[in-house]
Amino acid sequence: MDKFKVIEIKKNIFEDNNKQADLVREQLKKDKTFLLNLMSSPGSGKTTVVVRTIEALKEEINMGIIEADIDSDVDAKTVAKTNTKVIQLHTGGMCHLNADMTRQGLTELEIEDLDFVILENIGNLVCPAGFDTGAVKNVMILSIPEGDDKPLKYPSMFEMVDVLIINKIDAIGFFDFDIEAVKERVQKLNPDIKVFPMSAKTGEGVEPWADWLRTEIKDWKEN
Amino acid sequence: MSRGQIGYVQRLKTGRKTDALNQTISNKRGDALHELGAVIEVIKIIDEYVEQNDLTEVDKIVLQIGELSSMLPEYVEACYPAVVDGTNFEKTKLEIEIIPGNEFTIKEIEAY
Repeated sequence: MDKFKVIEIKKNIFEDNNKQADLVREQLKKDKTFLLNLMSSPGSGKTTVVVRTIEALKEEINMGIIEADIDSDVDAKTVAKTNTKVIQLHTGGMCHLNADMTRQGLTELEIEDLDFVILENIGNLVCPAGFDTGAVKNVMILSIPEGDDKPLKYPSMFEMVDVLIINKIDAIGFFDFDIEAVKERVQKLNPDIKVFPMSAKTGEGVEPWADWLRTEIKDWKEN
Repeated sequence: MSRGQIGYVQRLKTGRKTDALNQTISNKRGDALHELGAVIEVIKIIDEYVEQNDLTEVDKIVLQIGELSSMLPEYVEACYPAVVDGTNFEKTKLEIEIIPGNEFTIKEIEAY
């Protein structure tokens, strides 16, 4: 083995993904398309939130959706019923999306005529927090049945997002979930985080969220 | 593509020979999800390094995994053969050093 020499690399594995993510954002800026990365655990209501968001904005904003799952096209079928452009990504086993996969999804979706794309990430509170997808803003959902202790258990996710949607507030009477305690916990981790309590099922609380999106999409296109 | 229709990207391009990769991973589904993406990144970075530096063979890759990182060394090892299958790194050995902290880095390679 003498012929081999030791070459020090000392390179963080995620550096390349961060560079790719910056390239995705540069392209989005050129295309004037706002990309939102939506994350949560499985079953928190991501697809229902996506459908509510489409209903709230589709008359005024051209939207597209990227659904990502390890398998199946259940979510894409649900979204397709709203007559919105939708693409289903299958990660073939991977538990998160990285910037390159996002780029492939955006290419396939053909975003030139789109102002706003939602990337529905794999349902998982751990891995997606570690990979920049190239999105302009990152949003997570915590639903009432999951419990108010999640910011304590999965701090990375709560630290990296711009917005927390607390979903299924119509079910709050059935669970010991303290919304104020969650707000206090997430603000300790992430002082700038915006919190939108919502029921995607009944539509309660959707409008403040849609307003936030309108402002962010406009800012991205104009500045 | 048009509205109301579903487009599909069935097999995302990972820069590896995905047939063997998907086959192996689907046999192990649920076993090594998180680490797979990271191991693919490792090979991608080293592949680029090898090309840029005109190296011909890599005998060993040494990774450092922080105890507090979300990477499980045994899962990294489990993914590795599937990722390098059919590539120039098929015979390249993998060594993992556990370090304090949450870093996940390529420490060094043995190559010529």
